[in-house]
Amino acid sequence: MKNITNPFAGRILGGFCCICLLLWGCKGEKGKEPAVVKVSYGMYVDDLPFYVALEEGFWQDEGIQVELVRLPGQANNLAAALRGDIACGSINLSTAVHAAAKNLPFKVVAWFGRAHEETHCGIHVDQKSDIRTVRDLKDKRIALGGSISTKIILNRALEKEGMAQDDVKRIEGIKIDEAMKHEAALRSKGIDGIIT
Amino acid sequence: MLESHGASRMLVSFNDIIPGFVFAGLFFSDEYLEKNPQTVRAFLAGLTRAFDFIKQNEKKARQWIPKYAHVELEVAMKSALREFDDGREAPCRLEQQIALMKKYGYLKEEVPLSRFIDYGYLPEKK
Repeated sequence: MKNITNPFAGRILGGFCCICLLLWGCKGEKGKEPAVVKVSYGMYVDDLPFYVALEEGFWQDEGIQVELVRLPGQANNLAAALRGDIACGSINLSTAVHAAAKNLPFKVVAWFGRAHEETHCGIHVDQKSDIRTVRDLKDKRIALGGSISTKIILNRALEKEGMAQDDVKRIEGIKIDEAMKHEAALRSKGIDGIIT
Repeated sequence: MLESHGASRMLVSFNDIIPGFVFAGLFFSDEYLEKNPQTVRAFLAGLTRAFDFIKQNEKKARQWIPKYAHVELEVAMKSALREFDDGREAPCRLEQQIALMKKYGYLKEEVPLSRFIDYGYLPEKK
């Protein structure tokens, strides 16, 4: 057998070892492949932290690989997580409370944003409408999604103005991701206001 | 979104109605948490870095929106963003929303926050 005495061969061997060590380090803890975490998202602007963490490599730095899965609807998210189809889902507080009341086995591990002074989620009316205040909504048709959160928002808005809960006509069941339909409904006067 | 299309005018915002309204949380199943605690910690470490990044580099962060949310860059640059902190919320803020659920008849039983919230996987508070 030929001994490796050539200094260049030694350097090549050393370099090869360094590359192997680097590759080993990239594989994460105990040399395993990075864990793949399937996270549901709605393709909304509100999901921005997911996009940033992916694009800025924050999850890669932590040794995990995150895969965003489009899955609208909180009930779908909860069912998918409990089945093991996704790891992480999004849930609003009211749905979480109801799910917890039924002792479903899940935990909210972080909150994903709150409203602030620049928030544009709210009660919207047609741009050209003569509705100027919440009190002007009396007897008007307000569209809202099926979630308890939007119902609470409308109830609270009316209560703060001293109005009764049946002072407006509620049209429930709109979908949050159908912006074009909301726009058409407002413009055609099919509804007078919308919570979005 | 509707406002940016010139279709609507905001009458009153969520924040006007319930200041600091908490929109949503991220959850894992108990089974996943039990089997993959380090993965969840890593996920939340990356996520909270993203929260910080958005606060410090909002304009740059917004540029990723069109790729994923399929909206025009112009809309992405002026859409209202949620306020993000470290993933925790003051209990009083959450309890206020739960109290409103009860008041308006959407919840009958007592559900303690500890039954469905676990901040134990988040990075330590700064």
